[in-house]
This record gives sequence, C-alpha cells and structure tokens, in this order.
Amino acid sequence: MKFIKPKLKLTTILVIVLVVIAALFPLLVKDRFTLSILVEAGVMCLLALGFAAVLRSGQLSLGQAAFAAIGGYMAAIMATKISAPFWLALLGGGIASAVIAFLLGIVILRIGGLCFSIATLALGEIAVIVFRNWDQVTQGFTGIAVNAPLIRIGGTVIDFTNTIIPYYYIVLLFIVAAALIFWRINQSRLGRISRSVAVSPILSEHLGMYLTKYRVLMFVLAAFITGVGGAFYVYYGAWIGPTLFSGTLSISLLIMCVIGGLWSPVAGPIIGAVIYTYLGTLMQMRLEGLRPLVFGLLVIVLVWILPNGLVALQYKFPIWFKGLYRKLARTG
Amino acid sequence: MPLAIWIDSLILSSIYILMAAGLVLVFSIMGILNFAHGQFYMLGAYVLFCLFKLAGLNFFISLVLATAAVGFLGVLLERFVIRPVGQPIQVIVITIALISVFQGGTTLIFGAAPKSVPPAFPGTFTIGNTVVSNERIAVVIIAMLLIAALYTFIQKTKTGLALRASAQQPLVAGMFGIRAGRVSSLAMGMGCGLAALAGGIMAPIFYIDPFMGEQPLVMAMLTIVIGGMGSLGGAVVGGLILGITGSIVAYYIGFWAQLLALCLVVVLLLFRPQGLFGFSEK
Repeated sequence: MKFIKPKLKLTTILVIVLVVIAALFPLLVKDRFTLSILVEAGVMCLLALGFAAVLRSGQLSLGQAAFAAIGGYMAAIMATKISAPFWLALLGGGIASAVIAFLLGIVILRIGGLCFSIATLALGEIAVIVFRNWDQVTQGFTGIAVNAPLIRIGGTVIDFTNTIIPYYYIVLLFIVAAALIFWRINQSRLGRISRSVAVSPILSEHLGMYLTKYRVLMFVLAAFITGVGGAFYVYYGAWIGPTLFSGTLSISLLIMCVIGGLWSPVAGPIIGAVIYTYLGTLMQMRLEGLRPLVFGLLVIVLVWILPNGLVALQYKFPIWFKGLYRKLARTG
Repeated sequence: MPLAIWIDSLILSSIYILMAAGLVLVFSIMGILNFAHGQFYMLGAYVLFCLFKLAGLNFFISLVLATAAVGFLGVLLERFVIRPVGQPIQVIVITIALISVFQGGTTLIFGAAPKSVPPAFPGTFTIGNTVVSNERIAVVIIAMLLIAALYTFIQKTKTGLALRASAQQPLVAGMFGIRAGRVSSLAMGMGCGLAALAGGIMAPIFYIDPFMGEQPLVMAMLTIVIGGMGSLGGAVVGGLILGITGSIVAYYIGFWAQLLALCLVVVLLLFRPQGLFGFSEK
C-alpha cells in the first residue's frame, strides 16, 4: 500500500473542484466574449505547458510558435485537401509538429543552452519565411480557410457554427489530458531525470544519462502538444496564415510561464496563460494605446515582487500571515 | 556590381557590429541575453531626433548626448530593476517586458508614424560613375572609428582589463578587488550606449519609428552566434558576413538571402557551436 500524503490529497481535491467549476462555467456565464477569451487562454495553456516542459529540461526554446504553426498548417491542409475529420486533423497536426521537432531536436539539442535558444529563434524565422513564400502549399499571405468541424456523437451532430461552447469543452478536455500527462511525467523517473539534466548537465552526463535523449524527448512531447493546440486554434479561428503564430507568441509563452511560476510543471503555466491572456485582452479593450506601456510595467512589477511566479503565493501567504500575527502579538 | 551596394553592405554591417558589440558586453559580464537591446537602438534614434531636429543642436553633440542619456538609462535599469531580481530567466522576462514599455512609451509620445531626420552631412560626390552621398560614407567612417575605439578601450585600458577579467572569471576578478556590481553597471551602460550610438548614426539614413529595433536585435543575436559569444573580433566578422548577405547577396537572389543567412547560422551552430572565434566551454 502506498502512503498517501494528506497534502497531496488536499491538492487532488482542490484540482478536481477547479476542473468541475471550469466545466460548469459555460452554464453559469453565457457571455460569448468571456468564453471566447477563455478558449483562447485554453490554447495558450496548451502551448505554455509544452513550453514549460522544454524549459524545465533546461532549454529555452524561442521557436515554439513555429510548431503551433506547423500543426495548424498540417491540420488545415488535411481538412481542405483530403477532408479529414476533426480529430484526425488534430492528431495529424500534432504528429507533424512532433516529427519535425524530432528531426531538428536530434541535431540542435546536442548543443543545448544559449545556442539552442538562438537556433530555435532562427528556425522560427525560417518557418515564417517558408509559410509566406511557399504558395502551392500554404497559399502565402492569403492563408487557408478551414470550415467548422463536424462531430457526431451517437446520432446527434454537435453544432459548432452558432456557439463556442463545444470549443470550450474540447479545449478543457485537452488541458486536463495534457496536465495529467505532464504531472505524471514530473512525478516519474523521466521527470526527475529531465530536472537533473536541467540543473546540472555535466553531473547527469557523468551519472550515465544521455542528455540529448531526454532533451529530445521533452522537446518532441512539447511539440506534439503545441501542434495539437495550434491545429485546434486554426479550427477555432477558421483560418491560418503566416501572421497567426508570430515570433512574439514564443516570447509571450516565456512571460506566461514565469508569471505563473516555473517550479510547478502544470499549475504555473496554466495560471500564467489564463491571467496573461485575460488581462491582455481586457487591457487591449480598455486602454488601447496605453496598453503596451501598462502591460510591460505590470509584468516587471509582478516579476519583481514574485520572482518565482504566482504559484509561489502559496508559500508567501503563510509567511506574510505569520509576520502579521507576530506584529499583532507584539503590539497587543 | 554597383558600388552603392558595397556601401550599403558596409552600413548594414556597422549597425550589426555596433549592436552585437553591446549585446556581447552585456552577455559576457551579466550572463543575460538583453532582449530590450533593440529598444535602446530605437531610443538612441529618438533622442537624436529630439536634439538634432527639434532642438537644432550640432550632430556630434546630439549624438554624444543621446549615447550618454541612453547609457545612463541602462545603468539605472541594471541597478534598480535587473540586479534586485537576479535570476537569469526572470531577467530575460524583464527585458522582454521592457520592449513593450519602451515601444508603448515612444508610441504615446511621438506616435507610431515613421519620422525622418535631416541629413547631418548633406551633399554627394562621385566615384567613377556612381553618385555616393556624404552621409553614407560618414556613417561607415564613424562606425569604424567607434569600433576601433571600443577595441582599444577593452584591450588597452585598466577598466577594459577589469571587464575582460570579470567576463572570464567573475569570482577570481572579485578576489582581485574588481567590484562585480560596478562592472555590471558599466557593461550595461556601455552596451546600451553602443546600441544608442548605432541608432543615432543610422537615424539620418533610415526612417525612425517605435518598432525599428526589432530587426537589428535579431540580426545582432545571429551576429554574436556566428562570431562566437564574448568575442569582439568575432562580432566584427559576424556583422560583416550578415551585412554582406543582407545586401550584396540580396541584390542577386532577393529575399531568399534572409533565408540563406538564417540557414547559415543554423549550419554553423551544428559544426562549430562556439562560433567562429569563440572558445569551447568544455
């Protein structure tokens, strides 16, 4: 019998409650705008989860947006050329990304470190140039339009055209699945190895771990999740072009992961992505021209106060309260 | 091949070299990749725009003032924003956030529309049958002088020695009485100042707008990868390679030159990850 830590039990209950609340959310809030922000935040969660997995294996990838774009293009081409069903197109997008990540990874992950970051930056730029100019396949700047998916469960057809609630549930399902995968990996031997590879590559290598193998593994897994997320986003927006996943997105993912918190493999990226997307969209509407200034300052202040991200609040709160209690005890 | 294209390639190279030199300085001393470097380039151009066009000062005086102002801004940022945070990933996020702060701020003050700066050295002269403007030649000469000055400073002066020592072995440098904090401030100030100088001397040639810093930043990063991290000579060679592909090769094969430069970087990373002039860390 395994010993179950009470704290872990509490966390599990908390997570289940949160997922149930998220699942019931569309029933309570009918506002289309809020839901559309949440779907977008959901896609960002998927990308951020992948990005965080690569980052936690010690590599800063600056080309994650390109993998989302590869997945998106693959899904769009499958949907338009061979009229593949929705799920197959998503899977195809994920696999296309993963294959390209594998081929690149076995070459560029041997170097690692800063060279990897800059190589991915360069490859991301190359991908955008290719998408823009390879007219026969990607149709250049016009991009590819994709029809709304058609899903039959039993005899009923799910309506995707008038409401975005199905998109919400699909993305929620994906997030739960991805979160479970990454959480499980983090608990397992693979997760420990990937952390040790990140913390001390030289020691890990001397202990017999083949660095490139674990780096590539996390990179490919991340690319798969990112590709599926990108493919889903293409269906949701009904269009893909070279401007949809730009290089700025890769950099935003880093901001999301850091403001969420890097030591938690799942909670940090999800919290960061939701808050980043929600605040970003809200500010875009309310502040318009002021937005970049305020947003940048907000991120700086947040990183300044909480360098370990919002997840670190769970450790900060008890400390703050203890201090407050002591102060009260001293004065009173 | 037209002579003008050679001069263009030299101008591009000098932007990349000056930007890359600043980036290398900051990277080798502080160990962080400064994503806001392109914004200091942009700020330099805007400060020059204010002083030279709006206030009507002499070009060289406004250039020096712009460099000093942006360099001081860099020192302030290093001291009060970057140093208290400390950890590399968090510092990278802060520099990324600074991009949107500077872009947003400049857009608010000057608007997003491109602005032009009047030429500092009007007039043209003719070599053979090509007409060359004085401005372009002056830019190349100023950039070359600056690079030479920077090289002398780093190789020949005591402060330069302190910089090189802290880049190589921060701990040992500290034991010999070099203050790590001051060296970081100096590196950041010089790096930002160099970016501002690059922006300032380019402002009369190109249009300036709040988003002008992005492309030079990416090219400067590629430059330091080609040349090797932490090597000034490497930055010069890398800048020349990228500048030549950016204009001379582009003259023959169009936008594919960009693709070629990027592929070149990736291939170089595979066979010589430490760059052309870098030292392997292992």
